[in-house]
Amino acid sequence: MSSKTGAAVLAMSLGLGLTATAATAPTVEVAITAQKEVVNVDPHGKKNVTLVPATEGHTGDTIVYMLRAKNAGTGTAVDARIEDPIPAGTTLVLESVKQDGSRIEASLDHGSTWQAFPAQVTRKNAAGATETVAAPAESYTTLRWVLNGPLEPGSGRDVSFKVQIR
Amino acid sequence: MMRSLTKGGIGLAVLALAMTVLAVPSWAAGTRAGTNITNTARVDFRDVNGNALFQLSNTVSTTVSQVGGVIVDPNNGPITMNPGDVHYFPHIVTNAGNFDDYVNLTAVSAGGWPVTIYRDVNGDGVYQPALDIPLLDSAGDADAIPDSGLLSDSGPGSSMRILVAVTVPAGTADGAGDVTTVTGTSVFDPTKTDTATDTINVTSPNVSVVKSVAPLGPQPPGTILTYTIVVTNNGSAAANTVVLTDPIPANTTYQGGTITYNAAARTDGADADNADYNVSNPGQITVAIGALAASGGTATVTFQVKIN
Repeated sequence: MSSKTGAAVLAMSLGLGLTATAATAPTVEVAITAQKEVVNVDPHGKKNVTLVPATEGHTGDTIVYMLRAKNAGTGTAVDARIEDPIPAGTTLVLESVKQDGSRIEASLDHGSTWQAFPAQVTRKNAAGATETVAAPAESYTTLRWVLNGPLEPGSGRDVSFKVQIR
Repeated sequence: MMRSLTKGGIGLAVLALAMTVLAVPSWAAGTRAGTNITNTARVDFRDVNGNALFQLSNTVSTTVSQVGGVIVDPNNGPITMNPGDVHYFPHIVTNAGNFDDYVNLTAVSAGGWPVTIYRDVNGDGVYQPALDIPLLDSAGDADAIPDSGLLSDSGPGSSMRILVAVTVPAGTADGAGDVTTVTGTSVFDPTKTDTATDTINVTSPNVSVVKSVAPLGPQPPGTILTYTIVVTNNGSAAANTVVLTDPIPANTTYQGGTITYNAAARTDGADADNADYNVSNPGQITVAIGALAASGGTATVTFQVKIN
């Protein structure tokens, strides 16, 4: 490892920086899938939820987004975080937010400010007093998963959430 | 009295309904069909030297498909109507689906009373003969069922107003009732329907006449007979322009100036009072009673004849 690093430093000094840094840099890729929950009731009355690709859907349908972040590079990645906006025309299903070794943050203003998930909002109640309550699902605009620890080459994390089509 | 109160009540009810209809907000129909719901994630990270890097994910897309939806509002009534009356019930029909759609409309009276659906062209909830036209089938769906025309899925064009005219058949009994059901059906998805009802209670007059004579039993010629005629309205609607006619019996002679109306004397001639003999109808007593109040309004007429 240390000899490789040495080679890279030498390569950079020789003006071959591009190939050399690529050989040692982390490359965290994120892939996303969209699936739709289809509920079937079997002859015994038991509900079975299956997932099919969500190429089409309509109001009330639930879309499951699964995201996998994987370090496809050769170097360690640190401070990795996955950010995903709640798509326009959908509402986050709050209890669906799943994580894998992450701290979850939420934004209600398209990423300008962040707070721990589940988010809270401050408002005036009917009596005029200020109170802090859970943010309504419709108010979420963006989710962020701050991955714990470094992401070594070849390792990945899975997170997921659901939305309902408005 | 009762009738005028009832009539006033109907007028107020119609006005209130019209205002309700106009106040209905446009319906949020959900994400419009054809919209693509896209999602692209992003990952930010650093290498061990602290250099900030990021990658975007693939983009997934879900196309919103069309769903049908219909709302028909409001339920009207119960209102009180008299036989022969027509009432125009206002309704608002809304496309609650997520794309342009036609709404087929039918209106059926449970009792088979005549029903016509009109397009309320100016949307005021009131029938205007020169303006409001019977609902027709649009060429766009051409299924021979009258419909709303093409309604958009949001905004002012997503709803339209109709008037359902229900006629109470002449001769309908006092106390009868009827419910007309207005059904809207999505042309895109006929399983999506909604209904509203128009409920009518019928009041009608029920006038009876009882005639008696004194003295009773066999009488010799030359006897003066006094006939008493009691006209009573036992219906729950007022009776208007009630006219009593009574032919003088054969073999008797009317005794001039003997008509009384509610115990007050009446003249025989064609004059300002409401009774005459042999003027309005030859050989008959005629009394223009006028209005008899609902539930017991009554009038009493007497006159005398002599047996020939």
